[in-house]
Amino acid sequence: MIHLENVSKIYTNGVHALKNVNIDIEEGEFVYIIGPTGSGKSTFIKLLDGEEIPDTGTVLVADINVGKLKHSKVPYYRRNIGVVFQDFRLLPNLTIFENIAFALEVLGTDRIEVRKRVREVLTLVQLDEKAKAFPRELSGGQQQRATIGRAIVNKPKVLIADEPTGNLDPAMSKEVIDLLEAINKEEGTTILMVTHDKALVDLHKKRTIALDQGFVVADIMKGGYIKHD
Amino acid sequence: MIKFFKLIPYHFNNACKSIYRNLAMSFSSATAVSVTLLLVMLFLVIAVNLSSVSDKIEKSVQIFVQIDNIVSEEEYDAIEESIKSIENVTVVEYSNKEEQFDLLVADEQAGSEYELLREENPLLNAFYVDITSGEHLEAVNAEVLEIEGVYNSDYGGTSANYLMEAFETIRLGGGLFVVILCFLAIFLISNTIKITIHSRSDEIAIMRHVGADNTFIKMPFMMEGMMIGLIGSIAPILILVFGYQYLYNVLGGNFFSSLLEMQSPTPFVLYASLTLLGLGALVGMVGSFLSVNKYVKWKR
Ligand SMILES: Nc1ncnc2c1ncn2[C@@H]1O[C@H](COP(=O)(O)OP(=O)(O)OP(=O)(O)O)[C@@H](O)[C@H]1O
Ligand SMILES: [Mg+2]
Repeated sequence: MIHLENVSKIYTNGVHALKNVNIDIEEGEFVYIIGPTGSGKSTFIKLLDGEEIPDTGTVLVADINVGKLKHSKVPYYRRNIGVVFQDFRLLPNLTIFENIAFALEVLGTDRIEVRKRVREVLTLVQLDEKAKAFPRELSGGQQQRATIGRAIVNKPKVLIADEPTGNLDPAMSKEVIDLLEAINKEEGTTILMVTHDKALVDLHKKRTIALDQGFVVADIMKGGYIKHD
Repeated sequence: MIKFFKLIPYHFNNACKSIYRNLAMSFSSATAVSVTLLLVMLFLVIAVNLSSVSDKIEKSVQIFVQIDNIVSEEEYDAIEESIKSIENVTVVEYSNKEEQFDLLVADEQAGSEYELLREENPLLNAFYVDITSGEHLEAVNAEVLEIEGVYNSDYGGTSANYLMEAFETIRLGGGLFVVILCFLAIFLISNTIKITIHSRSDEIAIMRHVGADNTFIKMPFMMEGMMIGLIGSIAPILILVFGYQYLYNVLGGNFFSSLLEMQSPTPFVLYASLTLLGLGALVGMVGSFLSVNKYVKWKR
């Protein structure tokens, strides 16, 4: 599903954010990406969603060569993946229902279809009662579940989350990780989650890829947080 | 393509919301459009009515040629022939001095008093010379004066010429002014749209993340600009529709004199309204297009 071969990324300011990275992730996997700050985790995500282009190597997602995509084709590619950020990025003057529906309306989906699918997703992320609420009326965990709902509403093959629990307390983080696990299991979505959260990684053990200074320093199937000193 | 049309109500909705949210800005841009179109409208009314007048003046240009008293009757044909042979002369009509006297009497209010002078009629036999258009007046007149036996030759005075020149100046100057105003309105709209784009940059970023293509992102802004333009055209159109009809009725279809016959309102007002509506939409679209192209640049 995701295949990185000899990928390097150098920003225009000369920072070598990723160095010769090779990663293979199969369909339906749930993988953590860990590493200290500045190790290139977000850069890795930006390469996957087409925001940045690798300087060398190939990035394949669902057999699409993301780095080689024409600018005008990027939006159509993005419809295959869902992205969740640490800072939610919900539109404040739309309700939760509208926020999730937004991702479908943008694609020109039929109204009735939108309504049906948003209802489904609201149930999946357990926000049925909050459909008419505005983002500010929700807790952080609930807001993050809403963004996850928005990310999966068009049934993407891959869900990428950049520190989705970064702003949440442990209880709320658990809500989010439980939801991601449910999506992984029920919809078969491949999930990639960047995290700093040691406790979470130790508790919900999964394949874990560790980055440090742009290198892949570990790729552990059994999971568990790796100590950096 | 079908998708494109299906999305129009959605974009329309968004554009309405945005206009409402930036009510003050939208209102001031719409006002700029209104002022511009109001002037365009006045200009249209004047230009269209003047062009019918100047057509008339051009058609009625005539040279009045008086023949010297000493010229014998036999020589008249020769003079008429020489006048006819001048370039751009269309019709030459003879009018003897008795007829001239009748015209004088008919023209003057106290005409009856002139009757006493009929015996010693001091007027001259004359020719009326029609020419193809006003611009040749001076040249033809000069040539006529060269002909032997011509006592004097004159045309409606240089005033006719000056009038035509004035009309031309009004048309050119007014046109230029209107074009400048259009640019101003375009600038104001593009500024409004720029602010809208700015205030919605979060929304645009999220749109990109969920896979909206650029057309989709640009559409509501284009529509917003167009709607501001259309809203701005409402007032000038209303003023035109009611004002022109009113003016036409009050003036009885004429501006001050029968020379200035007004265009009848029925087709004119309709065409002018459509022109204003179209111009409003165009100004709005161009204005928003400029901003959208500049500030909604495609990035990955
Ligand atoms: N747009 C950019 N332009 C220039 N340099 C950048 C850019 N984005 C990131 N970098 C640099 O690239 C390196 C890797 O950054 P990246 O954001 O991928 O780290 P990260 O692992 O996500 O860190 P964090 O845990 O703090 O989010 C850093 O040194 C950073 O300063
Ligand atoms: Mg980061």
